[in-house]
Amino acid sequence: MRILLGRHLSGSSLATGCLALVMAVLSVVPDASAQGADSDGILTGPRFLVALTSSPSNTVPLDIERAPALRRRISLDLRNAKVADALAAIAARSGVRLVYTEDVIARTKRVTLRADAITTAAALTDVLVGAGVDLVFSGDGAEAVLVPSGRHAHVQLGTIVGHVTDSRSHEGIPGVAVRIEGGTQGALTDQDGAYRIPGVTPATYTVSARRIGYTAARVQVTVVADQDATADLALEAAATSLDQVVVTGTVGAEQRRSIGNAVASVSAPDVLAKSASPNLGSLLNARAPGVVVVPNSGRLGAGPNIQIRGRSSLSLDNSPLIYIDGVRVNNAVGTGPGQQGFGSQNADVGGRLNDISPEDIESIEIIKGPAAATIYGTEAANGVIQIITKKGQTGKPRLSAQVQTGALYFRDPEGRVPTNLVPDESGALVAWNGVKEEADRGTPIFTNGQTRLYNLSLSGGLEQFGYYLSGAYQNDLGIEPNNKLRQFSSHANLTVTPNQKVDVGVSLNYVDRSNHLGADVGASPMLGAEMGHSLLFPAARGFYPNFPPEVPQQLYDNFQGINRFTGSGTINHRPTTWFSHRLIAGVDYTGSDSRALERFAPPELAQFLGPVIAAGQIHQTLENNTVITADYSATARASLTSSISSATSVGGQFYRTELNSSSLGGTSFPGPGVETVSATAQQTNSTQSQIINTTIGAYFQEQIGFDDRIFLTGAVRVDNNSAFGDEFKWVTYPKVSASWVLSEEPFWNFDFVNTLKLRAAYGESGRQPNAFSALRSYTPVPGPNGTNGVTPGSAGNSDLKPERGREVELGFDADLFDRLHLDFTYFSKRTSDEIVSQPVAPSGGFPGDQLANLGKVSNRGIELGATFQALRRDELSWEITGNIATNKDRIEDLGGLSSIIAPGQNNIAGYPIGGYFAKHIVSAERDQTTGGVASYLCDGGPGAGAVDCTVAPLLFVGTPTPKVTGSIGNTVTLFERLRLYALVDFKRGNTIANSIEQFRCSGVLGIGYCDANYHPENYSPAYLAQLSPSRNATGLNEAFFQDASFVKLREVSASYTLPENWLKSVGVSRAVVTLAGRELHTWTDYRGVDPEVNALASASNALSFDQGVIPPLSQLVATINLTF
Amino acid sequence: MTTRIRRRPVWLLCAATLLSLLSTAACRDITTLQQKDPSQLDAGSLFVPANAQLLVNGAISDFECSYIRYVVGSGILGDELVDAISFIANYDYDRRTMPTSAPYGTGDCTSQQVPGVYTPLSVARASADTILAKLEGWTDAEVPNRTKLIGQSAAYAGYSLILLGEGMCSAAINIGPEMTSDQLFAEAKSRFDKAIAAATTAGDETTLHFAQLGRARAYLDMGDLANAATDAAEIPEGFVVAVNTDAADVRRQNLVYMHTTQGNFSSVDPSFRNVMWDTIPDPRVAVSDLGVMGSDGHTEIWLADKYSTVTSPIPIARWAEAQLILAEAAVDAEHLEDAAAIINDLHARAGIATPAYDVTGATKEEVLAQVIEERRRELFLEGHRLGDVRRYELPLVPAPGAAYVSGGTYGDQRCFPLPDVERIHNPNL
Repeated sequence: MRILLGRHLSGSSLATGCLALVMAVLSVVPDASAQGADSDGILTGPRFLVALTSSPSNTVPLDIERAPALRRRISLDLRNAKVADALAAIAARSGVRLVYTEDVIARTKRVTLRADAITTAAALTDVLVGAGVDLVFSGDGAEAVLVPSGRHAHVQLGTIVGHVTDSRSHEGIPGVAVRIEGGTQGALTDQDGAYRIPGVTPATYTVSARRIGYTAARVQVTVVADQDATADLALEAAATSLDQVVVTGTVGAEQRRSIGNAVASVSAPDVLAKSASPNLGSLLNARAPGVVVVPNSGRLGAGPNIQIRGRSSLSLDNSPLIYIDGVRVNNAVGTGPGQQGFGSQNADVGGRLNDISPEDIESIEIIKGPAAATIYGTEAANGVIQIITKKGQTGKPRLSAQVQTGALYFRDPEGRVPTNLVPDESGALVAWNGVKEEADRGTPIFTNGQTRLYNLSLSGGLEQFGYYLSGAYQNDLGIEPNNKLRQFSSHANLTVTPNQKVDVGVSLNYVDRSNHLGADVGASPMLGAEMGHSLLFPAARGFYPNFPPEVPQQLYDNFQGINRFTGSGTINHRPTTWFSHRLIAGVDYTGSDSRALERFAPPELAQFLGPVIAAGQIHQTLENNTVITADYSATARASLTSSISSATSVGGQFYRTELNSSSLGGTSFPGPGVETVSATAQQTNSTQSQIINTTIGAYFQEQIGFDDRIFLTGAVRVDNNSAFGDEFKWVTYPKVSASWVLSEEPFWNFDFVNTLKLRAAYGESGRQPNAFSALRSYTPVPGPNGTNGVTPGSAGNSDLKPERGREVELGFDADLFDRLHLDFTYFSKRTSDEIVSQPVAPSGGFPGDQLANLGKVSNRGIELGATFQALRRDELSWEITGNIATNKDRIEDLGGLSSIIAPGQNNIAGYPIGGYFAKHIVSAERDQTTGGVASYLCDGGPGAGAVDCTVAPLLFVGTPTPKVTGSIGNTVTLFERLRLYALVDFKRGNTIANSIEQFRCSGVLGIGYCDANYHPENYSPAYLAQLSPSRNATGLNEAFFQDASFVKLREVSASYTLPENWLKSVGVSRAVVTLAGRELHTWTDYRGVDPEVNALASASNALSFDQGVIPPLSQLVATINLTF
Repeated sequence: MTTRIRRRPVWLLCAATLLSLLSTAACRDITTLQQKDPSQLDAGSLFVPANAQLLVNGAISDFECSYIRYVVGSGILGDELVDAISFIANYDYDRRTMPTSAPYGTGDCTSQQVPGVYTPLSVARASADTILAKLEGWTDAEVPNRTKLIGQSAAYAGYSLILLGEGMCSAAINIGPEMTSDQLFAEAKSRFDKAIAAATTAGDETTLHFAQLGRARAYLDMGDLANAATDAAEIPEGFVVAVNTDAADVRRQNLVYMHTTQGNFSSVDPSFRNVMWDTIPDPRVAVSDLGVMGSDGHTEIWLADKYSTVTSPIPIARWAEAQLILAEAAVDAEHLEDAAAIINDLHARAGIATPAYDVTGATKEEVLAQVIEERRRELFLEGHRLGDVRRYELPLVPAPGAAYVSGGTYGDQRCFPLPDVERIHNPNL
């Protein structure tokens, strides 16, 4: 009798599918292995075959990937059932028609099988295990005939072997994840790109290979018992490609095709091979649209501010979060010693970003705002930068060594530091340029610095173990004797794969940094030269404020010592084909010792100082900062129908940041050489603080994929942060995104478009209040007669909640004409609940201000990244990369706070954050006899016409945040050996306060130093009207808020790969020599020293102010890279 | 029959253990998300009976700090001190042209160069009233010396209200409506009533007399001279309550000394330089020319000798003030001889007994003018002069409209106007 079982699938509803999936996740019932293979490789289940002709006898193994009906998930509850009944149940639930004669299953035994969301294939295997039956399927897998297997014993297994190579260089690629699609088996390639997957059931499979930076490749292979089946794959390198895997902003590793938001990625080895970037800041600069690196100062050790998509917070930190291998790390900027005795000495410029050695980085991924960062929750509204370190690869040990040496210099200091003019007694103008005077005298202020970097790494691995070990030593000298940097760093990355379902990674990083930061502003030689003149300060060879350069250079020592450890462990577990989960835990510890030392002055220097100052002083701050991360996520994947897939994820994170800080100080050392606080005559300023911030959060994410072309993702994140007010506990951030790989649609027939993905995302995330700002607290104070008392300290705000960013991102990724890649994004972000300081009525009993969630800020702009392979021949290739981004920030609302505009920078509704305001001169008359200004009128504001400047309003001048940023890089490779590279980057539309020009030309010191002061006839009367300190003080200083737009020739390099046959005899497999230059030319209309300096660097303010700051230094560097 | 029993793999156990560990850790931390600043006291746990003394000390400390600032601020707005620094906010004090956005409204207990007035006084008033209300709610069993502490906190609340009434044109308390000076004096009187009752019960003589003199001042300010005299008569000879300053803490330094001598921000007003009684320099207003120029480059710095160090105490209330209240009440009652006797007694104690002040043939107005002049000298830089200028409607010198040396002209302010910080942010205004 021929039995027919089954029904035609009527199509399953999405809701049912989701429910089943959730059930599956909740019940956590393990899947049966699709082919029923035991751990010892013995197979007892049925073979899945496909008939090549109409005869069931002519068969080959079926590729289950191509049989959706077999991958469909069903639930069964069979207790001691007959096999016939079991088959009937499977057929009914799966829609697969099963055809057999009773004799085929005559000898089967009863079965018991209870499972949720088991695949049809697994169910059939379980029911028919040991039955001596094979299944011969129709081509579409919808129907199967049960036949006697003709073999009743164990089936032998086969092996898949192969090489994965770079499609252009044909070299093996190590560390590629090769996987049998739809199964759990896979392998990593070794150093030569070879891999081996043993124990594979004979069948036809699709094997895929994926690695960051390459397009994934797939190939079909048919495995035969007891034989090696070869599957070689060639991967195409791609800057961005749909199958590239990213890990930032996603729950686990995810292909770009399914991600609805922009993720920028930077391949660190590629960048370093060309640019010799000395630190992470310069490695990131100009690589990704919308990611702006502001160097602030050229001093060695100065850390940059990083802004992604401009500024969006009025009072909080605008820096992105930094992660290393999934662990959050200290991202402080503006740290270190900053206090000095003889004059203010600049904001603190140390930054923790540059502790990380660029050589240890594999890639950097950047997500730019709330639309992408929702699952990071509160704190992530400024975006996230994830640093992925290098990992070991299977294969023989590989030793790499790098030696780098070069020079640092202040390009054209005599031309860029202004020449000052002062008339002598006879009225003749005397020109004085401090840099030139000192150079002529044989005591140049700025000498050439040098950089030396030695780096050694060892990587390799056995089948189940990979390692990467490295050590680097850097020793740089700045252009001033009190600016030095010495850093030792070591990094170890270990990967263990005990079996194919588990891998464990450990990443360890240690940095010992000793940095003498030098000094800017205040009494620095730079300011001394900018504001000095030999006729005014003759005793100090002309230097302002009356001491020569050697005084600060020899007496000032701003030191920062860093000991930093970052360690993390990651466990990935893929127990079944449909479920995987991951745990990351780690710690980032930074111990820092910051000392602002002013040494006891020897007599030759003491003569320039008062006795108190000459006796020296010290302030020391000791800090330890710990960031702890625990991050768990789990994902269940399922095929709801043959074309709809689902990925359901849940996760939770815990972060704890603890900063302990104590500072002490003292003045007056007893003599030279003594440099400790305890040796001072008067000890001062002893303070201690402890700040702990804790975040705990969880998210749920559901992603539905249609035909691997359309992906819809929805997520909800909830979290709580210890800085929230008591009345405000949990915050919820939603996210939705969609991506559509249009180019893979059947109707798409534009051949010149290789790939086109459209994406759209909406997401929210936050920015937590500063620690303690929600608390109502009282401060201990001395009471009457030596008692203790308390006084109202901070009014606090128990309703204080995070600033909430809401962002929409729309864009596309496209590959065109096989050579042009484009990546376009439009974003619009609104930040509400901006934390604003609001005064409180004193009659309530608390002094000062209270923070409240009042303001609204909007940011919008576009970002475009492009890579164009202009030429692609073996003897000559030319690649052009470029990016451009715009950003416009606007304060929409300040919650009704009265906004009084003061001269300078203000936050005013309707204008950008930190906008510059000044009076605007609309007309000015020249005095024909003196050449100076006779009269002038100012803009009276809208509709008011020209008015007397004393009553004129302050009008908007400009924003400190660049409106347009971008870069263009060119790489030309000749004969695959010589590579020439140049990068130009630019910022436009931002304004900087040129205080030096204002001080010099307005004559703050009682006399003007500028040509305009002595040849007024050559200058506009409107400019001349602003050369007055008292007028400047009332806001008549628009001329000194200057456009800081620039174009810089940022990087130039030539590198040559030595012929291999030269090297073989000395055991070197590869050698590359690179000559690189940085910061070689600037095109700008800005009249100060450099448009990128900022004397008041800090992550939370929007100040941009040029005063006595060393500009970013130029560099010429030679590097040799050897691989053994 | 074959029954396949599925093995529960080890990973499941591991994952479950891990998850439970993680969630336990997480849950524990949810409860500790409550943050704590170890350098501050949390408002939520501070107001307990065990902290009663600490909080009263705090309220006294807040008053002392506000009083120190009031002495300097009212001294510059009034005619005791003169500006010596080129800074617009300081000009405005001295020139009597303060805008309501000026720092007198917002400056707190750390302000020095431009001393805050309204915020420190408001904080002091609120600190004292807050602990007073708490003490009244607690029991004697919970708080040792509760009645004494009630007396102290009520007395200091009263003095804050006196200064708000004398110095501010108007003020608010507890985010309430705008109050006139008379309403503030009435509030002050009610605090002193409470303080006198409590101090009497507690047998706390110092607080009793401190409150009595305070109430006398309140009556004086309200024009009730008879009641003022009754209270003033209770003050024993030699009685004084002063701010015990200290050198290190900016809240408690003698700000008159700091402002003049250390900062060169202000100087003794010319009208207080070389004040004579007949031919003898009046020792109560002894001043010294320090021979240095103020930061404005044209104002010579003069120091009040009574505050010659950073720790010189500043009297808040003392016997001489009570005597002058009695003298004023005597004038009002037309007992001019009694007033003269008080004045002569004070002169004798200061060492200027001769020539004696003689009221023969003098009118009531003339004797009142002498009492006012005695107050000017006796209570020099003790926080009374601005209130006197306002209460007696004394002519402003230099007159309003006269040119101010650093620019602009003198205004006619005799009190600090209610500042923007209160007017804008107090919903009841």
